[in-house]
Amino acid sequence: MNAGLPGMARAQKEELWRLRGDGNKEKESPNPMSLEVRLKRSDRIYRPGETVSGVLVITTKGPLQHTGISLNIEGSITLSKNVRKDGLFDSLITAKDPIVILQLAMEIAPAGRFPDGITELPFEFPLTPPSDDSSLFETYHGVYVNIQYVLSSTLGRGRLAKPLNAGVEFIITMPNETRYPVKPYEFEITPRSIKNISAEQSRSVPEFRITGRLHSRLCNILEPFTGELTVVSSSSTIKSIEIQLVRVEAVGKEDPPEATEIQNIQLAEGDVPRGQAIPIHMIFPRLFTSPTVKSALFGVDYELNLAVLFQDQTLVSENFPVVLYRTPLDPFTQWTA
Amino acid sequence: MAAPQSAILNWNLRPRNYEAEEREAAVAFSVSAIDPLGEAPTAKSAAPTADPLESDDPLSLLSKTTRPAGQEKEKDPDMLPGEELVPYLTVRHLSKFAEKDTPSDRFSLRLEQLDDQDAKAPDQILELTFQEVIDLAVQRRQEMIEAWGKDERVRTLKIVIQCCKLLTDVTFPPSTRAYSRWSPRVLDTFGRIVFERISVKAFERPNPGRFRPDEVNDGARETCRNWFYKIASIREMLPRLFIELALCRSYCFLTRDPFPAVMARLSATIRGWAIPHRRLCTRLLDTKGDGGVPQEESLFMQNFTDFAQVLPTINCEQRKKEMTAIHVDFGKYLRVYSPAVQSMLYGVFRSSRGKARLGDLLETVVQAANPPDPLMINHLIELAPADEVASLSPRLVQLIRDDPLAQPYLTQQEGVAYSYSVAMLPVPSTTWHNPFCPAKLYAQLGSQLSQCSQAPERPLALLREVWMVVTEIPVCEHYMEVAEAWIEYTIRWCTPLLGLAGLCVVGFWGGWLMLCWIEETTLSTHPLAHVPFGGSWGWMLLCWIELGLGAGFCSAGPDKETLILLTNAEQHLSIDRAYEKLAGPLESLILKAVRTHPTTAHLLAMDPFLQLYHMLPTKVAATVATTILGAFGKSVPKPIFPRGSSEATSDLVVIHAFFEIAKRAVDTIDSTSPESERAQIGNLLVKFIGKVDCGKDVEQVSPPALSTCPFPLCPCICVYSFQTHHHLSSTPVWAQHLNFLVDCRRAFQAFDGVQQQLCLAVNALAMKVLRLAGGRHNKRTSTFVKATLAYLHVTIPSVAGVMDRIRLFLGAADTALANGMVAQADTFLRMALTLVAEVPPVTGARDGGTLLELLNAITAFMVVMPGHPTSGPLYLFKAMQTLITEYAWSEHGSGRGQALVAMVVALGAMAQRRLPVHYKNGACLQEGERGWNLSDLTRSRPEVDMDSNDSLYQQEAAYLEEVQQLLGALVATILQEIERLGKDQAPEHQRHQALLCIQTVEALLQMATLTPPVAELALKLVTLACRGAQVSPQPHPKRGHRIVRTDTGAQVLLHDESAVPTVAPVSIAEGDYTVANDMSLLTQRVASLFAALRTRAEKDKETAPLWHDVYTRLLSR
Repeated sequence: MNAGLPGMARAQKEELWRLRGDGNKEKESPNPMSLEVRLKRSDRIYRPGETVSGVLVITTKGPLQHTGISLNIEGSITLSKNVRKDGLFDSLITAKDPIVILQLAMEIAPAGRFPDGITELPFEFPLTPPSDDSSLFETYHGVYVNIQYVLSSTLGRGRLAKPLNAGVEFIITMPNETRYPVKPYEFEITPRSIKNISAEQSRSVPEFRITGRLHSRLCNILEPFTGELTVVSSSSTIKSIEIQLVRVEAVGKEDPPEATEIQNIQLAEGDVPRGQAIPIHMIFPRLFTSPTVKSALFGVDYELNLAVLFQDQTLVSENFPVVLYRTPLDPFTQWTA
Repeated sequence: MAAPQSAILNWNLRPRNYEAEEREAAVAFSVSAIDPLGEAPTAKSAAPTADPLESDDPLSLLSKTTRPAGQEKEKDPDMLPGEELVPYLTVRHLSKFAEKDTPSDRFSLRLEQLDDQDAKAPDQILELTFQEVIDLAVQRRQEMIEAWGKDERVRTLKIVIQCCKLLTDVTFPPSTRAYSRWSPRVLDTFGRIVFERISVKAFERPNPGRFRPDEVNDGARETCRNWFYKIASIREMLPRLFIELALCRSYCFLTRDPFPAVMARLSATIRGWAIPHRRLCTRLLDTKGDGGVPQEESLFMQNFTDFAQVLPTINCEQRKKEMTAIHVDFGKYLRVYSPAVQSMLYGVFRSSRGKARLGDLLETVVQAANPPDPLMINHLIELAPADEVASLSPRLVQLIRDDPLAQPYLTQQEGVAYSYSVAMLPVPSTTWHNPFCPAKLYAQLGSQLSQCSQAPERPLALLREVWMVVTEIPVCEHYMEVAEAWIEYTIRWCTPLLGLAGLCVVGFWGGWLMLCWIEETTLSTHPLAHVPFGGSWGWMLLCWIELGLGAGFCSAGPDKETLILLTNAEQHLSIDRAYEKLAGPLESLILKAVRTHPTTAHLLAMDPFLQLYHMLPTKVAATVATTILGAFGKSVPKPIFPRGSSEATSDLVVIHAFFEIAKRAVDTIDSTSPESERAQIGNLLVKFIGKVDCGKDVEQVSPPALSTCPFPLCPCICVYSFQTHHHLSSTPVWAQHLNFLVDCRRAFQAFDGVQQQLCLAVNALAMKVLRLAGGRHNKRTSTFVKATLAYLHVTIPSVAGVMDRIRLFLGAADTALANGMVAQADTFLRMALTLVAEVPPVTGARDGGTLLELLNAITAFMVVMPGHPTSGPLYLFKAMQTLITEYAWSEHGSGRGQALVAMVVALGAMAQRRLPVHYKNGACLQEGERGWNLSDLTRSRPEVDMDSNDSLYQQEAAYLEEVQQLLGALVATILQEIERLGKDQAPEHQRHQALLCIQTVEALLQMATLTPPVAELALKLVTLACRGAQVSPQPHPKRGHRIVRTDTGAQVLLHDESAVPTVAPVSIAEGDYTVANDMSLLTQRVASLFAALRTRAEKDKETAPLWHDVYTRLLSR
């Protein structure tokens, strides 16, 4: 039992405000010289085996002398310790070094000079794992686990001047070619199905019965999570029904897995009419979800909580572990369904 | 031109055959099948159609088309906020964040989260007035637009979310309704700017038109997808839903045809929204949609079904308690749902294009709740097509009856059926304050049924069933509402065709029976001939039975149901003087009845109708009177109303009623009334007077038994149905008609047009009496005609316009002469002539046309007028000559000359052995049309002609000499006129000279044989005419054609047959249209003159070679 729900999940909030591609544009720097990395794909999403291509854009007023331009590609996994258990200080001290999983460097242009105006230097490289026995991971931004791929470029300008730097993160997705069959999952929530309360407490729980089904617990991350629920009966007034997406990260074997709320979506508000099926529909946030991962170093799992809040502040929640996977299809064909 | 010599003035008058000439001149008119002045063939111009300029918004359409007429005072849901909101401002504050439990905490928590980037503190206001909430919304919208303008997308989205949340946090239901009109504006704006932005990214223009998603570039798609990811992560359900709806249109960038699926999902999502009135707001938004989103029937249906299932939870005791707690009237609360339900149903019926069956919807509603909710029934009736409502009306009536609200008085009613005992009914008064109480439903049903295109099944039974309940309604306002709605239905559909058919059958049988009774020979043809009845007495008995039946049908009449309804309404209204408070509905009821009823006269013959009318307040009554008069003016005769089939009315009761009503209408006019209003009422009165008729036929005069009989086939009924009022008094009907006209003169003094119409009506009456008298007046009729003439003598001088007076006097003289009253005719004519001098002088050259016409008419009439025994046979002509010569004609025109030419022609007629026209007593009566009662009288006397000069003077030499002298004097004056006009070289004078010349030659052609000097004169005149008309005659090489060449080179081709030029020259230097018109007319006149000359020359080659000579000399010039 839990008194009330926490507010909006942090991740959710961040997602809300970071209007990627549509947010505030950076003001053009007054610097007469600039370096910029532009990828050909506007969504910057690549799959292993594909070729990443783009251009370096050098803008200069007057000719620019340089000592050469290099391009570095680095992919790394950052694992941090459990803050709550060890304390913030501890975790800072014992922060592990990032594990590099991809490292590439190339010379784009030898020393020379760029003429006045804009110069574009194209580049491309194949995205392959460094060796056959190792593999790439999907880009993932979590609290304890962070996997990211950065493309950075440096323009040297001799000893006296600072070099120009530019970088861009690109995203690696690893879609699964096989689609798993949809297997509906029926559920029913009653006071009897509550596990973690004592007999006295159970007496104060209002009588209710909620049935429903999830269309699948094996979810394509690109498709909305769907299902429906029906309040068959309830003696107490329902105040709100919400569905909560929770991520469970496990770092190493010794630490217990840590759960973070990613998204909380309200499905119903108020004392909903009995017997009408209320749809469950939730879109997995792009940045904070990745397919379920289980590896020796870390693991990322997902769970869904269906929370029913009654007028008397009683909260009943039902937990559904789910497995996420990714398919290569354009998601928007399914989005509307 | 030389001074006129006596030789040229001496015209040799030739004998004429006027009839033959007329026949020759007659033009065959082909009557086209379509009367261009008649009513356009459109069936119903008043059918409610949507204004094409109106936006597609179903609500605003609804509010225009479907609001019941009686609810004008009801606030329009789409009215401007300020108008409706005023009462709320002072009376009630709504608590916006008054809830002290978690929502408020949650809200402020969220606000803090949202505003952490902004410096702005969260709203601390706890209570807002209604207006403040609206202002807040308006302000939010402005802020949003500003933020967007500054590229602050995040803040924009935040503002929109706040705006949506405001909607959820308003707890006062009526305000929700108003606010829900504002919130969409913010959302719509937001949806639009996002769409435009993405569109600019994709196509570089904000309005891309139709496009496929694969035409959209990756960048735009990515932006679009990003927006949807953003809004999908909004935690609260309502903002998420609203914003997705607002952005819905942008799904176009991602997938093809996304809307059905998206909209279906979104409307399913609404099910999670529990609080009913908020649900409705959502639904409202949902179905309202925005511009680019197509809407489908299934969507509306889904919404409707969902709502139908939820509705029972709204209309329950608990909700009532809740509303009482916050001091909201439950009726008002229920009204909150109306716009949404209307919107949904409108969508269902519109998008299904007739597929949606009202029956199915009704079943859905009944399944959801039994008895079904009156709210739903009300809107179903309101929005379904009228014909479908009609087909399901029995079921609907049953449903309304089963409504528990209707029960209390239904149970009471048992045993006291049809008794109206209001005071004893213990109906809780609150029942009737429900906006969807049975009375409202009945009213709604009634107004729908009266609009349907064909009669519902068993309309009478339906009416009875409804009225059994309605008549027991204790609240008079509600009763009136229903009565008002159903009066139209009753008149339209409950006029029993059955009764009419019965009437016919009874009449037919009755007629037959009577025949059988009278003539025993035809007895064998009767179907009942072989039934032993005991001789002719049995038949007589049968006859009487038939008579009784017929009488029953007649007295019940086709308007029986209307009568009952009106009586019932009158009873209700007279209790406790309820009508004093209900002037509005009463007025509407009366107006509806008048507008719907095909013959207003019948309506007026009903006592309850008049009683209801007298219940109206004076001012209202006057305006209603105008409408009634108007309706009377255009009451359409319908075959099913046999008595109304003649346009005129002769029922004295009706006439009296109308007269009273007309007086009421006149009372509204005073010195301050605008002229248009006065003219309108004047026109109505003129129509009214024109429609009053003393009776159709001669039978009125003597035994008045078979009066205005609707069925000539069934005399036995007619015997009963004749209008007794006529025969109880000894005054003949036409005398009563005259009395009526006298009354009218007194009552409507202020209207000049009415006075004129009265004079015309009196003329017509006199002529009718002459006809009735069979052309010979007896003492009684002659006295009567004299009375009518006296009436005219008194009335005409009070008419304002001089011309009108002259015309009326002329008409009066005509009537008098036709009735053989020479002295009166003489007086009238002299009065007319005296008035000519009073006509204001003619100034312009083109003016004086009306006067000329009048003078011509007088001149023509003088032909039949016998000469005066002492003043001489032509004293009127001489007077006329003086008048015309002395009158101040325009110096530039030829009016005097033209008038004189007309006199010349008339004089030509006077010299004939037999005048072209005569007043022959009884001439208007044709053989066989005469009244049977007077036939013996007329047959016994020879018909005597009204003597004119031809029979009085019999071509005496002195008489002819006098004619010739006068003629000479006239011609001399005409020639002087021509000369006078010729002195001035102005083109206008030339044209008038030419015109006068043409007319003179035409007169000459018609009435004289030529002497050489006259031929010379004719030649000169034609030459002058050609000069004035700027044409020159030329022989055409082709045989049988002549070309008239104009100075400007245009050619007029003359055909032998038609003598009408095929080419009209337009060659005018001045460029003035009227001149051009004049010229072309002149050219035509010249052309036709030539044709006439030619005909004359060819025809009269032997008798009058001089004409031929003139013609050939003319061409050779």
